[in-house]
Amino acid sequence: MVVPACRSTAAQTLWLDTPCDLGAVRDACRRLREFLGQAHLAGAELDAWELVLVEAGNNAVKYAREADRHRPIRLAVSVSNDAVEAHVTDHTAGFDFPVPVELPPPDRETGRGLFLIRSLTDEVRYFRDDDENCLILRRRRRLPVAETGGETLVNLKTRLDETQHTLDLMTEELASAYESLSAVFRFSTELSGQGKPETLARQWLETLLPIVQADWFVLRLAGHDGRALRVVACSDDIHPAPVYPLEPPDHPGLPASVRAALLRKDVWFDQTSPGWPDGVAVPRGPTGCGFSHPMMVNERLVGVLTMGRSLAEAAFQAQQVNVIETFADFLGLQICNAWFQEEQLRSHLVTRELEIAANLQHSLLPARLPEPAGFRLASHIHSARQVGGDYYDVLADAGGALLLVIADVMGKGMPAALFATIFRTLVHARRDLAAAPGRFLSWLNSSLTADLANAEMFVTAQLAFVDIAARRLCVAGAGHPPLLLADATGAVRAVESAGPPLGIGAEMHYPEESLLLPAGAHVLLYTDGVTEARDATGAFFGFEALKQELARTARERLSAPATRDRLIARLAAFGNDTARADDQALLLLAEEP
Amino acid sequence: MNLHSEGNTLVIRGLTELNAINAAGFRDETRAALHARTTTLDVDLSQTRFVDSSGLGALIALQKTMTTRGGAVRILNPTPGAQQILELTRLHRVFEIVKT
Repeated sequence: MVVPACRSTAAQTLWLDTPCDLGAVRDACRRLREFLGQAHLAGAELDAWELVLVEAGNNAVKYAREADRHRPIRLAVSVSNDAVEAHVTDHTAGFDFPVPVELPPPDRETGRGLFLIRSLTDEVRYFRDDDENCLILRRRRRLPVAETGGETLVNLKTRLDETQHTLDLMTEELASAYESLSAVFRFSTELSGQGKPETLARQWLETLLPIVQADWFVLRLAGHDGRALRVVACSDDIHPAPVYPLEPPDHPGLPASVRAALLRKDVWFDQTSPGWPDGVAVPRGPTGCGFSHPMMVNERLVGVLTMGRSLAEAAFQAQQVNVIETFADFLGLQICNAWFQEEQLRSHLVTRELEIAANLQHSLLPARLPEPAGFRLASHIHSARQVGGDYYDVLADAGGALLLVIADVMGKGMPAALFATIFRTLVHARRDLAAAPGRFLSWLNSSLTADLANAEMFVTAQLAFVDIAARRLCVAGAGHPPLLLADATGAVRAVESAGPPLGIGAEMHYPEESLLLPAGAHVLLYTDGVTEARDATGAFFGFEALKQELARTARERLSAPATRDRLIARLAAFGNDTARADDQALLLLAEEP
Repeated sequence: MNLHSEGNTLVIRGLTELNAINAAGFRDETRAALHARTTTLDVDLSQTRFVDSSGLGALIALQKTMTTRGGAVRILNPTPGAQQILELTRLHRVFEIVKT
């Protein structure tokens, strides 16, 4: 007998001569598995080879000629970079290896060994001879697929690449296994990247029908939430129920596709089944059969494919079922892939929205601060996240008076940025109210309350009108942290907000407090992110520390920018953890020395 | 392997393999342990890291035994390997597979 040698180049080989005995074959297969494990085969491949070798070896034992039972069975495996090949030499009378290998009926106890061997290998050859026979099995090595993780953009990209990779592998494998299907996959490859797979699914399934000799199909998808099955494609003349809710528990009266989705396994039916014919209102004739196959990708239910035939007695054969299931899984991956792409796009849009909101927020802030005679202004803003709700402004009138404005919109992202925009527009619209900050806040509140209440948001704000010439300061606050006023001696006064935040109620009164600007005055408006900055232990920077710092800068007669820089440096030295900090805004007015 | 009866259910646990070597013994011992009232046969495959076609044959033989008694075989928590061979041979449609 001429048997080709193992074809692989640079291969490692192990062969074992085993007594003709089931126990000895089992032990030998364990050793061969260990050997393949040392060659870094993946777990699933080791499982497959162990089973294939056991099945082949068992057959060699069971069917050995009596006269040859003393002769060993040779089991050999050879592993190279791209494939594993096994040779099993037996001393049986030999047999004709069936092509194709059919799966026996479900109630038959024997006959699955050859099916398993054929299913788990890529190539089977059997050489017969008078003295001995040799079964040669070959299987390409599969590339391992990495684990998947959370839902960040990077992970989505990774998953996308992985599913694409799996798709490529499946396409390749299927195209080689089923010539008739390869046309479908070439078709799909040509179309990939154009249009949604849901749209293409119908064309693909129409192509599949004659290949598996089916008469009709229904494709239902579970959608992103997985709460219902919706028909996305079906054959021409059937009219399936458009939507099925997916509510456990399963029971036999449910339509087959719902049961398949709930049970995560194939559900078979014919015209006697309670769920017949899976919600297809007008089947072709009173009889038929078919099955619903759940399409799963990484434990996620993508949808259910139901395929049917008009003749009840002509159930699908195992190989046709294999083709349909493999095709459905392939389709599931394509659809899942498209979903990932959509999710990725959506994540990009969210990121873009935040960028727009951040630009918007930045554009609200004054580009240049006024320069009142004898005084200087300085400001600082820091957003903990991409977009914050802090806002400050300074409005100067022709007479040299100033309105200092600071506000904190409670909320983040686009809604907070939009309210900050509205707030700014309103402030600029009624600058005639600047000299009466209490009235101004009342008006802002009545203008904003309805919209803020709808959005379940509110705004804290403080307005300080500074009449430079008269050296007078008039302050009103809406639930905002106290304004600080320091003089050259280091005495600091806190002016509390006497009114509630904007957006709490419609008719609100905001009392004003009038003060004289002392010599060397330092006026500080800020948001609570400043006093609530935390150090590494989680302790707050605090109101007292801020007061003391301002007292010191006032005593030292620092300018407004120098005072601002000192405060920022002090916050940084405190260990202001920007990753955890809230947004921070500062607005300073200081008399020049 | 150990057999344990609970009401109408006979539970078989502790199978590390179900293969050509032990399949016949598994089938016969199980049949011998069936009571008149046993209607459910639970085969726990949670420890079973290897199943071959002979093991499947024994499960089918027991399924037939149970069917004639108006009962059924259920497979409990199969290992991934056992699950895979059941699916590959389409027997996951024949046996009820229970995962707890």
